[in-house]
Amino acid sequence: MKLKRIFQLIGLVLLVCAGTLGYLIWKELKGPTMGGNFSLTLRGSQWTFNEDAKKLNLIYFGYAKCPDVCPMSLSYVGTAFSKMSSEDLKKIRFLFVSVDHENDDPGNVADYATNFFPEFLGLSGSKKQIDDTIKLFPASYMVEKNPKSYLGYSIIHTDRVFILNKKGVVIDTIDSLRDSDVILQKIKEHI
Amino acid sequence: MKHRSALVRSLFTGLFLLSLGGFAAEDVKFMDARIFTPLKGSSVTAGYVEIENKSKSPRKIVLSSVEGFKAFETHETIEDAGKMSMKKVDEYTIAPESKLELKPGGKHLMLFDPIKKIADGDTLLVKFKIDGKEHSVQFKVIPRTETDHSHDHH
Ligand SMILES: [Cu+2]
Repeated sequence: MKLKRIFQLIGLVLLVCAGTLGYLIWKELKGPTMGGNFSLTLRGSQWTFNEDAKKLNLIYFGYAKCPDVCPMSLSYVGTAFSKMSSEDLKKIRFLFVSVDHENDDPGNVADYATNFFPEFLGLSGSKKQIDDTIKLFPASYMVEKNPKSYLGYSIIHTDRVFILNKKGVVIDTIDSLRDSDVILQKIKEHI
Repeated sequence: MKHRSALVRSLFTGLFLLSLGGFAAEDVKFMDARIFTPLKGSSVTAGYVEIENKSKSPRKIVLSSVEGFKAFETHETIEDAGKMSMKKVDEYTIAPESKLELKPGGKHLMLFDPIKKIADGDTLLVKFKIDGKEHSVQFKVIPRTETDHSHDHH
């Protein structure tokens, strides 16, 4: 009767509440999902992640006029790639994203990335494209003016590689880029 | 007589100071001096070296010239919570009887805009001022990829 309907309704509301609460707790424990689709420039033409994604995608933010840290990190990643089988290489891609939109032109960035491994993609873009991309990841950059230096600036940036799945979701991070075997090990866990 | 002894004294003082100056350069040793071949797509590169101060006093080292580059600076890379920043420094100071290692991810000679072709195997003359006294060091140009595993000493 009427009372039964009310109890049914209360039950339903409780169920929905419990479900929502459970989902919120699960989401909280899991942490936020990072990553996503993004568009940048490869040698002057638009490059969109989800049109060209591989099973595993590694991404690093730096700049071509970085003389010390970027080439060191990139050479370790390059060495890790050179130790992989051609079978595994088909499933993986490395993206070097320049955050120096003022001084790096797309050709330079693309050339620069290939110094470390022939298949590395060097991407650049407008300030908006770069900012829209980097905010998807736990990474950042900051241009620091330095009139005392010949270059006039340097860029403070995150020195980490993020491992993305085919959808662009971050599934792991490589914090230490100072040992090609450690990098290779991380890659092999996911490939 | 008085004049002569003053002359002799200043002569000796001069000789003494000269020998001190000569000594100062001798007791600072440069090892593993290397510059990474400039990479395509970039106009900057870096140089690294290990410097040993064998003397009993601190030594100040200033970079005064680098062959083959339009500009050169002494820099230091600093890591803070996964973020890297780089700052320019005027000089490096080495404590008495200790070593200072310029290495990737730390202190480095930053070199801008090559003014000639620089290739693997070249040697470039780099001049420092050690407490004001000039000292030349030959730096070897090597490819970046060779330094995958931390540089071993020969
Ligand atoms: Cu620097």
